[in-house]
Amino acid sequence: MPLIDTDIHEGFGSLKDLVPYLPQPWSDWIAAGAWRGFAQPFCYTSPGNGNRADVLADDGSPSVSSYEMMREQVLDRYDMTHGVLTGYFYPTMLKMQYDLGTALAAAYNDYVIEHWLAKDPRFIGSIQIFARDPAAAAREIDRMAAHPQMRQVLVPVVDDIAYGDPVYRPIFEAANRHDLRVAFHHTTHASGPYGMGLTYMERHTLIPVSLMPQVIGLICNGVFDAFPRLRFLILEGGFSWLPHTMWRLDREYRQGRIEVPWIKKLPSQHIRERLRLSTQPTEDISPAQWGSVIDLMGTDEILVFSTDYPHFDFDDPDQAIPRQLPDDLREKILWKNAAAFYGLDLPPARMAAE
Amino acid sequence: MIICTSDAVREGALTPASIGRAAVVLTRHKGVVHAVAARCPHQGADLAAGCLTGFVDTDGVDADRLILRCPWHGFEFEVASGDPTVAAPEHHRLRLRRYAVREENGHVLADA
Repeated sequence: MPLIDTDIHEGFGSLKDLVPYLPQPWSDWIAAGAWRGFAQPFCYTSPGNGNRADVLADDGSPSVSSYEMMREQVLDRYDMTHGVLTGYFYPTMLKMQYDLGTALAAAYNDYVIEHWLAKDPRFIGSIQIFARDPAAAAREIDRMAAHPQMRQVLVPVVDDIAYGDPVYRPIFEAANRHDLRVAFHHTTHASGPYGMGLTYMERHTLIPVSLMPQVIGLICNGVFDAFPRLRFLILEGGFSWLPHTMWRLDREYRQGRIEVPWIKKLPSQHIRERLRLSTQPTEDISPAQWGSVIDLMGTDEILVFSTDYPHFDFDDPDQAIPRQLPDDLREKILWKNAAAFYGLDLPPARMAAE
Repeated sequence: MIICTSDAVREGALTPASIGRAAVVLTRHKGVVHAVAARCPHQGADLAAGCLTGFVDTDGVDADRLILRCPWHGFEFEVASGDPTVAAPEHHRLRLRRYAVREENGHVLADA
């Protein structure tokens, strides 16, 4: 069976790997160690310090800078048809020095093309942006969209941006202009409504709560209606919260449509048609509960599989999607829904081999 | 059946080995050798990359209780019993299989 992993995190060894891709003065700044990178505001509690403990680079560091290691541990290990690279470095976390943020996003994209995308045709790339400057982000999307492996824009979820705000519309206009998908992924700065909590467990449990408002905001502020061709993906936020969000949005729309006349469809219909959710982290629910949640969504075409490699809460495709589910449903989750989302004609090489 | 030499199994360390066709990890606690299955019963991670700790409690770490944490999700298992420290979901058996081993003449042995 083909397999598509919609959330694999590639990285670099250190910030200095970006120096060759940065213009001056930022190349000098980074080369000189003027910036130490984003501070992580908590300690990880997993044995591998946030990653699987068996993910170790040749230098003993947990950085995911080795294509060969990733190929062995994920692409070849699970015979993946495609893996979507979603980044390990999100310049939008920088809250100042906007020109530096924009330059870092561009440098990272160029680095990923050379060090990752060029090495394996199974990779699908994500265009990284500095979202705090939406016009510059749109220009970066325009610059990167010509690359044939770049199929989506990665929109980083931080603690102070609601992307439904019209100020971010240029990002969606650019994605729409190039027929790119739009994927949302949290960062280590994402938070719940009252912050990150006081424990890592609290912070990690709140991740879906950082993503749910993005869905609500995009629909209520008309992004789905303004760009009928755009398709959206929520990564690493789980999925069991979606039925509630659909029901609640529909109810609010029925009682308050006069405020949001630009919404032309029931929110749940928008969601069923054009929003996809990646499965990781699955929540150890039973096969019967999987069936119930999918029934409540009203369609079995929303969920797309992801491992979240190399993170500690990695989902093994052979274990995380229960084998007791009907075969056609497992196929939709493990590859068909993602193939439809990205418009992939799957999979020429595999089809020939089979 | 000889599994390995006794000196290959150390306190605070995990030693991958085989008992017949079963992949296991060995460790030593308070001088006694323990052997458990090498695959995590949750999602199948190789426990040889896991970590050994005492049992973390509100008043500190109880070093008498040896805990093996999965290298992926960090699930905890009592080495002495194979039981998870947190009850498993009803539909999912989360118990680490233990193998009976003993030491004789500088070797670790398992019943054939």
